[in-house]
Amino acid sequence: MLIKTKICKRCFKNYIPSLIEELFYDKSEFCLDCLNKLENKIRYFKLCDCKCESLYDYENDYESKTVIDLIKNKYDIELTNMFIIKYLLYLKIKFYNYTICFAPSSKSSFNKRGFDHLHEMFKLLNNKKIDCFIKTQDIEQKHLNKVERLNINKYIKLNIDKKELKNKRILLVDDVMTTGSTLKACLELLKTCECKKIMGLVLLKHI
Amino acid sequence: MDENFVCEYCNNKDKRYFGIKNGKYYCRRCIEFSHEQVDKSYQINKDAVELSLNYPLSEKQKNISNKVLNALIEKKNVLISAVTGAGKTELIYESFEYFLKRGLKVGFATPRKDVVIDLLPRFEQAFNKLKIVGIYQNHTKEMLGDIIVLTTHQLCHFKNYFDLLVLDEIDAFPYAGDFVLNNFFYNSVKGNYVMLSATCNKKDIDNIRKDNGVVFELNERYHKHDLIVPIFKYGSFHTRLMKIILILKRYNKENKPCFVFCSTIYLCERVFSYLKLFVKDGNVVNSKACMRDVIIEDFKKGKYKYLVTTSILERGVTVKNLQVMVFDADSKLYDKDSLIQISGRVGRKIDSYDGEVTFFGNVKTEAITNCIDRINYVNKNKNL
Ligand SMILES: [Zn+2]
Ligand SMILES: [Zn+2]
Repeated sequence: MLIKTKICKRCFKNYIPSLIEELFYDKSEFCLDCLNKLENKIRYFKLCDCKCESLYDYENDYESKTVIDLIKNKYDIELTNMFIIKYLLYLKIKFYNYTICFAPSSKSSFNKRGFDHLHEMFKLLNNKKIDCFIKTQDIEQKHLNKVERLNINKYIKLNIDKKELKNKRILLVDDVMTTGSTLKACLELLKTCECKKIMGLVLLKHI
Repeated sequence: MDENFVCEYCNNKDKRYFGIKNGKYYCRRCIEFSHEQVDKSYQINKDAVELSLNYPLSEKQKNISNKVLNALIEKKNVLISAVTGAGKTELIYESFEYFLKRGLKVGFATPRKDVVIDLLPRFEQAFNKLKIVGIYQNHTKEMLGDIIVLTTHQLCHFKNYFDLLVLDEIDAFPYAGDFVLNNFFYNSVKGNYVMLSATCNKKDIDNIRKDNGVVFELNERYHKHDLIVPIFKYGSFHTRLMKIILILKRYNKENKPCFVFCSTIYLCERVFSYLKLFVKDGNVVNSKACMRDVIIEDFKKGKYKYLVTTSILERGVTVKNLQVMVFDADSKLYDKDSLIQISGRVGRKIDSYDGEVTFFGNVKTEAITNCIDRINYVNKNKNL
């Protein structure tokens, strides 16, 4: 029997995928050692009366911080699946009939990276996806202070006809949540669209 | 896609490290490094180049310093193998002066941040009218100057930049054996390079000979006195602590600062937690300790009498009258070369060439024996 080895996209070492791994982490390109370094930590919370959850903590988890930095600031597209893959089955079941709405991201950082990191990070989920928000000003959040972040709602607008979201189950997704002001602004806008249900999901949350 | 893709920064060709973005290969091996390059139009302040030395070079230093310059003029690369405390840095001042006077770009790279910080004032003194910049992690705002002193990590900003690049401590972590850092170094050299080492091996010598290079040896310390030969003492954990406390108290009276090396961070903390109960004015320094730069600075100023440390202080740091103890010299983590480096901390200054190096352990390992043999050998052959 031929044993297929793979090369881990995080540590670059050869590894042999186990049966369990193949079942749970469908199409994974990461070795178990690397996946286990990311610490699963689901947290449930409410924003604007909508149920939200986060999958990893930003603080204390050195690996998750490193990986998100490699994706966002070093433009490493090959790592984008890493966060979702550990929760793939869970997310597929829990949100199977939801439409994914992406939180708005800055256009200039897209140009620098050469890919939309948010779309890439959620590409393993087969849900219908829409880009329903735009930023009226091209600002990168990391350059803002806390007060400016709280005023971010001024710059976020709906990008589509409200009818498109009517009676739909919506899952709003973002990568990192710091103050939550972006998510809040988006949720408030979604609430005006007569959706059937609105939920939020972020990969990493500052606690 | 380009099947012959080679990373232009780290020269990686191994497909394992390739990623694919928008239908094109990109290199992931050096991805954590910034590829932002410095402005190459910086003009060296040629007229301000003037070398001023506190101590004149010894005969042997002068001899080698000349040979190095001549080799560089002939467009050759150089490896200098010199014992610890030989004054390796001083050997390249003359060449720096020659290059700078011609408006050529020079740099001094080392794997360790602490060494960069230690070297800066020495360059500032030797070339007191020039702008010397130090570049290391979290200290990267200012990148341009007449003389650039930097860690090997920061070479990523200087592709094809230096007419003369010196690399100190070629066998030190993390540079040694690191593919990306090694290629950053070679890629930063536009002209020629000089490598410095206290513990170079046959492979280093072979490599440089293959790369149009010559090797010079300096087996004599600057002050012509012998290297200090370590003394080995057997002892269990507790007796070692007792002995160290007694020795530290004696050093305290004689006003001699001291490093106590431990192989791991954990051991470091443990040993210090005992020592501080008996000997005051000490501190602990390791890669995890915050404020480590401040502690080292304070130690040099005499605020602390002793430091308990891991191998991060094994190289470069020069303190007058320093004495050294190694708590667990028999640890597997120490090889011959690191023990030689540690012993080399002692007796470096012209006015304090004496000192003591004490190794403690349960067994006298091969590394300890080889280290002592090597130091004795160099002392015997220093006039060759
Ligand atoms: Zn791995
Ligand atoms: Zn590369």
